[in-house]
Amino acid sequence: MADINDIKQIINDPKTVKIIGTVGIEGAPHTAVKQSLHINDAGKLEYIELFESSKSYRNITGSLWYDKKVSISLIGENRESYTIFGSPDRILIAGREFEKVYTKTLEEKGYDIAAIITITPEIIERNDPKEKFEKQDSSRLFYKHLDRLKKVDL
Amino acid sequence: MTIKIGRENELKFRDVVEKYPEIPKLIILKIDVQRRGVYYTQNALNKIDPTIYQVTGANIFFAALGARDQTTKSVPESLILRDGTTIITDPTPLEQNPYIVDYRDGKFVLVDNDEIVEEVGFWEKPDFYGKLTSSGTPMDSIVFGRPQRLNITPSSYCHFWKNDNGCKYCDLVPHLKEDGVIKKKLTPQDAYETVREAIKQKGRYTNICMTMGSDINGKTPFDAEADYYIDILKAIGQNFEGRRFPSQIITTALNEEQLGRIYNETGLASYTSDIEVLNEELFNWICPGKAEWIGYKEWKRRLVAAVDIFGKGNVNTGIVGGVELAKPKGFKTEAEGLKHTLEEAEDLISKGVSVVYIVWVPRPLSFFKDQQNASLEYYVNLTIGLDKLRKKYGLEMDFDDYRRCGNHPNSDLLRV
Repeated sequence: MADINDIKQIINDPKTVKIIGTVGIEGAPHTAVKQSLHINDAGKLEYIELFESSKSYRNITGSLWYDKKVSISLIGENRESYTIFGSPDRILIAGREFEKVYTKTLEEKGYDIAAIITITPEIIERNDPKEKFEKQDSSRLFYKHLDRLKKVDL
Repeated sequence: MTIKIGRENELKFRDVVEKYPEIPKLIILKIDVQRRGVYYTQNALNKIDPTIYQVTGANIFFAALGARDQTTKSVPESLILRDGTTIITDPTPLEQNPYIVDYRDGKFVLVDNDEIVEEVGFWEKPDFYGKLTSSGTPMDSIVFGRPQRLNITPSSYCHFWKNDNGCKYCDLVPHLKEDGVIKKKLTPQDAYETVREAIKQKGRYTNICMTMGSDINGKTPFDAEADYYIDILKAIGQNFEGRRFPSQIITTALNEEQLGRIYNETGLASYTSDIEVLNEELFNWICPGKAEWIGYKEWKRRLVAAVDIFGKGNVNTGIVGGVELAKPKGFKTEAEGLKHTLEEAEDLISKGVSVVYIVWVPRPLSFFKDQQNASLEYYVNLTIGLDKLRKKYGLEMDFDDYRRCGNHPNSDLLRV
């Protein structure tokens, strides 16, 4: 498993596509692009939730409340890709830290914000198909179609 | 003083968390902290910087006024959890078994039985605190800031106390009299200036809530109360663009003519009138002033009528959760209290009036000072019951949720 600091650059790169996957309390999945996602000073994932009424805000709150995981998919400019699984541990809705981000977002983009979400990363997976197939092929014999196993002279 | 005895058989926090997984642990913790109160260690108080955090001050509704711990002078106004949940709670003496707020390993924490239960934060001090209006009134004596809401308290007197008909759980007037802090009414100009100053702080507030004691005066009873709200709301409204601004008033149950005037002449966006207890006999006993001047059935009728004026989702009523069990006239068992409360709540909710509750804290200067509040399990079931009813009838409550208010465990659940 990669270390969060090993992929800090790709996470913080504004050209990386950053997608948060959450599940509602009724079980419905939801994904949303969150380009504000970055690694904060404490080494945790952090992003700005703009919409108070959004499914992702409801779901991330539910995840914190009911100890559910969320996923973060990253696709870098060079197609390098990772999936991170983690647990939301803080939803900041008020205070100086909130107001600082609120003011910056309002000035730069003209948007209100609902909260600043912090997620503790727990599992990091690299999504390189070649690496993943190598791993699967070496450990899961039954996951391979037989034609790929046949002798070359048959 | 409230003495907690005979509660050994009640389920404790961790038992209730295990038994009711559908209610978030942090909301159950909020309820329990409100039931039991908090005690701040000297170590914690030493680390609380009053230039950063909001400590108890001059406002009539601040947490320490009339609190269970009468020795409290300067403590954090209230708490906030890591999910943004607000806990408005009383400082409470150690002998009453409160949660402990301590500072350990660089963090403020809630402690119970010497075990850390959760990290905790405090409300931050608003920028307008310490400033004066042009008339010389300290702004923080008339308006105080919750994490995301401005609370305006225009008058500190409730006229129901004139003939000793104040609500039996309320200690506001006795306490104010004792402390000699009954103050002059807020002027519209002071209100305008304070709100103008407060909203200079970007990102701090999403709602303005105004409440005060009942005022029976006027040609029709409570005309004076309605007129006063109109004056203040008109003044505040000059700070905002547009016809309406995020706002709530919590008043006596005003009639349609009074509510119509408030709605049409001001930018008010939502309306609350607290019925306090959902049973006519108990209402008459616990809230004799409300019963004398309006009556239970009329109170309910006016709430429903308010929905036609303010719209569905913009009207609610508050109850003092657990006061329906007060002795000697209250429900004899928690099961009975819950059943009847939810039945009456459904009647209102089905007609578009949301119901929120606060946790009853028997305060030392109230008539009910020697009583005890309900079990944690009771409050969790009240939370579940009210939330189910809200969902059943499809009611939203944006104006009184976790951010716009933060004092109602059942409306906290609207977040998911």
